[in-house]
Amino acid sequence: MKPRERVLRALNREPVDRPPIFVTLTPEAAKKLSDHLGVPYEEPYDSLLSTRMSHMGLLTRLGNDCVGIAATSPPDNPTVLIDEENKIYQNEWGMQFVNVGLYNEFHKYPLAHCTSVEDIENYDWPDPFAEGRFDAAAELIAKYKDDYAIVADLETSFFETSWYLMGMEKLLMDMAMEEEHVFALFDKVMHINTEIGKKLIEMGADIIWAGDDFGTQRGMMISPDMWRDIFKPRIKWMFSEFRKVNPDIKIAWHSCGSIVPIIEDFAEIGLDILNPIQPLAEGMEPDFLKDNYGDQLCFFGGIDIQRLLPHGTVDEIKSEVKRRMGILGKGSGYIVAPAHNIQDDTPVENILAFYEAVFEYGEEAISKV
Amino acid sequence: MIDYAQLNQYLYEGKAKKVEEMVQEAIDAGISISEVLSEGLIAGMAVLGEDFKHNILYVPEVLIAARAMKSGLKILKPYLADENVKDKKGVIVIGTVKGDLHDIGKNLVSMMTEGAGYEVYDLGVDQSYEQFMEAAIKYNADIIGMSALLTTTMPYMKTVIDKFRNSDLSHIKFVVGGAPINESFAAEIGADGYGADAASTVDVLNSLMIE
Repeated sequence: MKPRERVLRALNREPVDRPPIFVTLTPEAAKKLSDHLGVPYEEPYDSLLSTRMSHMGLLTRLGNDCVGIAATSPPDNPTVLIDEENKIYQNEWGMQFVNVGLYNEFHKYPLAHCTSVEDIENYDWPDPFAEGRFDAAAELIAKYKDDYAIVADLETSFFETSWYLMGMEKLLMDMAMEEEHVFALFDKVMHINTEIGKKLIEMGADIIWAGDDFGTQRGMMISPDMWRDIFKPRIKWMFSEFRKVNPDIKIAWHSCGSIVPIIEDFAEIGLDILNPIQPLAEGMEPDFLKDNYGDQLCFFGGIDIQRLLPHGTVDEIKSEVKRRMGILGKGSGYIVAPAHNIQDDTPVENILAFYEAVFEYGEEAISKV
Repeated sequence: MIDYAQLNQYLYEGKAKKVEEMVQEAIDAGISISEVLSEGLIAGMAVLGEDFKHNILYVPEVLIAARAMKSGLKILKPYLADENVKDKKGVIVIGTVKGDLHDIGKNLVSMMTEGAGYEVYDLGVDQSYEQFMEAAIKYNADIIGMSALLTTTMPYMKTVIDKFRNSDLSHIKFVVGGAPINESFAAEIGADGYGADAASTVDVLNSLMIE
């Protein structure tokens, strides 16, 4: 079974030989794995969603069935190092990051002092159709589309991109105070990203992987009522725009954390695939999700990166991956994956153990009645 | 006569200006500072904390309420030194550990703790054990709170605790929290308590201060 067929069959809940795989890595983990396998390290792309589209040569070689694509910064407006001494970078959105070793952290939020709708309107917004934005996506599609399922990444759809621009505390407070500029910001970002998503679908993506984090480790970040009021109608609109381009597009949503109260709402507005099923988040137990939503939703993710992958033994990883495939993948309808990018704290043998577990036990696990 | 129920309600709704006004009125009326602090602000934050713990309130509402609490506290602060406020519960030094710049959870804990009547020194993010030690001495801390979001930075919590245990500051207690932290990790690294969320952390601090 070709990887692409495996993915598409799984998402249509048809029988597969094993659950399809979609792992993504941080650059440090990719470097380690490349060295281990003796293959050249692939430099990450310049994109807000870089980890989801980079290192695809390495990952397909390991056994990924999906290939990620995303919009990149346009070549004439790349992410640049603006302060060498303090390692500060600025991207085309005007967000500034400081490199703190293993990851980049926000340094400056360009809309931190925004107080009015005019501030939003007058901001220098990225052009979704800037020259060269989709070049990397086109190359990846040309290279992989025949054999692999193409996943267009749009994970910071509008809530997260907005907090990257404004700062999270201000955004949450202004939102609670119902300040108009917050909604103007959401709509502006949503329109830019929806255009990007539509373009990636038009180019041949099989799956659009949208998302914003609404959960925390212990529950919803915002109230379900506030979510239904502010976010649900906007997400519904995005989904309908995507389906205008391709009615058969499979739509995934990524939200870290525990989002149990709004899963039903997502199903109602046409979601196909829920990601990442963060294992240690409260209430996101795989059997609960499969039993309650398995008829409406496929699942993607589910393998813990907070404890199991970095700190588990090879045997623990194999048996837990097997167990989770048996629950989330029972019958079909499951893409097995870590609940986020695998980080530098995960040993190479643990990453390989994950793949081996899927190859060895995948078929048996999902066919058990 | 101050309507504390009303003040608590304004605090709960995050109405900073109203809270400020009422606190000022109370001071002008000559009411004792410690009474305004405990009946007006601390009592209000306690209700908020309970509702946060039980998913009645969420992060945005707590942030605006905490902002209102801070506005009220700012008015009280100059008087706190004058009046010997007996109810001071303890000194807490708090920070996110080295290599980690995530702070929204830590900020919530910091605000709730301050709202519960503690003297709180928030060191910010990316804090080394030397910085925790310096602050512990400077502020005469009773308890140190450490936060981490990343699995890659959480092991540093043990480094800090070990450094304290092997120093003159071994009497200081530690409470740890953050998304990947749980009770067993906290016990494993020798922390005295685990704060599952901002409101529960206050409960943990209260019980540690009684010990």
